[in-house]
Amino acid sequence: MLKRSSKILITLEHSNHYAGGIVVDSTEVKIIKLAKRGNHQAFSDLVDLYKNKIYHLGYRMLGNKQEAEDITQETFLRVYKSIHKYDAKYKFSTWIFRIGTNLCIDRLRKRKNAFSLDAETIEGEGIDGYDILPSEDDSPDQQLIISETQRHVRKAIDKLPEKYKSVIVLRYLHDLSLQEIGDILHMPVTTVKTRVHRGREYLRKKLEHGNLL
Amino acid sequence: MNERVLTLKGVGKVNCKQVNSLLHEYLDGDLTGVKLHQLSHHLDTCSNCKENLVQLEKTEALTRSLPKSPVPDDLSNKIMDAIPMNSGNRWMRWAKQYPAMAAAAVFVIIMTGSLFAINEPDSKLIVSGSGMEYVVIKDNQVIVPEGQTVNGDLVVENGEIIVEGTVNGKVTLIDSEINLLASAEKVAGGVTHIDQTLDWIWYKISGFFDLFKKE
Ligand SMILES: [Zn+2]
Repeated sequence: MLKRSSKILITLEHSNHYAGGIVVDSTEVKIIKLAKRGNHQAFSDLVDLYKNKIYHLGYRMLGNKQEAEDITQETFLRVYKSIHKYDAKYKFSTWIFRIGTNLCIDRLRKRKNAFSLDAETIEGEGIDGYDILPSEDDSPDQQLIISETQRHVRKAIDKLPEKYKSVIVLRYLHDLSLQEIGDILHMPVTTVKTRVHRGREYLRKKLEHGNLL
Repeated sequence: MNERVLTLKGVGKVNCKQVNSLLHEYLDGDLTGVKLHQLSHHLDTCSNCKENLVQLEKTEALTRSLPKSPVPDDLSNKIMDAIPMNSGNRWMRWAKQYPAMAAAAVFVIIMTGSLFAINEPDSKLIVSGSGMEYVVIKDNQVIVPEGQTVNGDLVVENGEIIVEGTVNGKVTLIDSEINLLASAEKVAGGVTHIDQTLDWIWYKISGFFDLFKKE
């Protein structure tokens, strides 16, 4: 229980504390236990363990760097606020992926609603809402050298309808099992499978259209 | 043998539409036994479905091979900055919203506390200061861990402070001890000892006025 204080008096009654670097057996389980007790350092270790995964999830789901950063921050904020509710019987990765995925899905839905409103005002101009989206916006120094093919694949994933996108991203970019994806999205494995099948078909058609297959 | 029976009964044959769903099951690693046979039989004779399988496999491979974008270097810091470190502590939230009220409350607590503390040898450990983020509290010990720097002052009451790292401000000890590991230069602002006397009460009262000056 580390306290941040500015000229305010604190009385501490707990005696179970943890300082950065003292942890000998730094297994994830121990870190999570300590983070649950409000330990600052443990929480920061947890951030280091999962930040990349959540960032990649956000990047693939939302298609740009800024929103990927935003949802990574939001995810950890939620983890921080509700870690006391996390039940250690379940995998922590499932729990944190659920939080991250839900935040991405929320954003995609809001985006969709915003575009359907736009569509009414610019009706008839045939503008595909997705094309107005900020897409890959890496600054030049961070730009990956990616092939034309990969650019196409990225675009195809960007355009996947939200319900297929989440399963495809979790399946192929995070290499999760169908069962894990079901746990994350709170849905039966059969539903996950159906969505993977449809998502795969969708991608196949897009890529075929781009003469990539 | 089995197959032939199925074929004879017309169950073994599948059309292209049914094959499509078999293809996906196959890609999921779910296809075994009779269904697997049905699929491979169909693919032997139907180039359309075979081409479909090749395309789906390529789609999977391309999707998997997509490179991951670089993660920004300062992501950890940004995440930690967004975390309200004391969101769980109602008193701290309240204190931030109403600093003057908090100061008054602290004053009352201090004055009440002091009356007890004078007569009570084993009072609770109390720590206050402006650089508390990096200190570790263990039983009645306050530890500034090695490699950590406290950018501010610390006040320790009824305890012991062990300085392994650095304190850039001063350390005030009230009925407390200090244990400086290795170098005594680790407390830049110096160390002040205060015992349970009138000095102490004066110290607290002046500290109370400091609260108003600085907030
Ligand atoms: Zn066929």
